[in-house]
Amino acid sequence: MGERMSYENKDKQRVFNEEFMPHIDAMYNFAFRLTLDEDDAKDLVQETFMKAYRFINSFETGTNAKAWLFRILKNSFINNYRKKSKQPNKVDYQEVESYYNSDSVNENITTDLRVETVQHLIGDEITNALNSLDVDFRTVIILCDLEGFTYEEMAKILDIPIGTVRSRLHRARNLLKEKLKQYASSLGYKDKRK
Amino acid sequence: MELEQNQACTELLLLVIDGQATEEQHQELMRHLEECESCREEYLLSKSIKDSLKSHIKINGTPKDLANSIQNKISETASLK
Ligand SMILES: [Zn+2]
Repeated sequence: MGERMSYENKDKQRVFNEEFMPHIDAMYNFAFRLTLDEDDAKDLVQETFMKAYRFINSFETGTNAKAWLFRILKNSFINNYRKKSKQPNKVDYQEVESYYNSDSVNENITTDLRVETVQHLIGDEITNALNSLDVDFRTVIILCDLEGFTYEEMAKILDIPIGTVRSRLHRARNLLKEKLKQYASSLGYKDKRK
Repeated sequence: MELEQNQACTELLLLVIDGQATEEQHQELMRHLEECESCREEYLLSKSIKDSLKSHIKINGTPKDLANSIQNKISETASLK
């Protein structure tokens, strides 16, 4: 942590309006993807902006405001909502844990999913497949594929090492492929291979 | 194919797809894709999923009153000090 300037009140509002407010749409979208509820998403964004204002002295002008805000939002989400959601059963939990504790990116789950099948899927189907993933896996896909954060930025937002970001992302994508494949076959898309 | 090589392929593939590969890494992968069918399929599939996510995920618009209500709360907080 370097030495920070402390802002005068009027500078605070200027920094807030110029650097933070432009990210409101991305923040709301992220909040909605995490909570899957409009009211919760609204509350979460509101809380995030209030915290951002309160802790504005720890923000350095010119640095990545969006990543800084996403990190606050993610932490607020963990504090508020995760405790409330029901605990996964033990087997699920262990499975998820062993996923996280591995840093390797070498497991390729071959799913037989075809490119043409993916191209046939529409918004609802892809959205549902994404929403059905565990929130931690959902999060890395949102940050990387929808928001375009780098692995390094994601590591800072999520407070995990880059190796873990990459392995979690890889596993999230394999799970998503699996879901998309299930979706596709339930909708009657046929694998064209004999 | 050797497992070790496959692992390197996958890592390279992810870097390229996520736009975080160097020019050299990019070309290395492209050369490899010309001769390795399984990586080529994996590349096309991963890319099409990423593209579909970007273009097809439904975005819920931000509620219109949200920005205003945040601004109001901030002004209140600021004037209290
Ligand atoms: Zn290969």
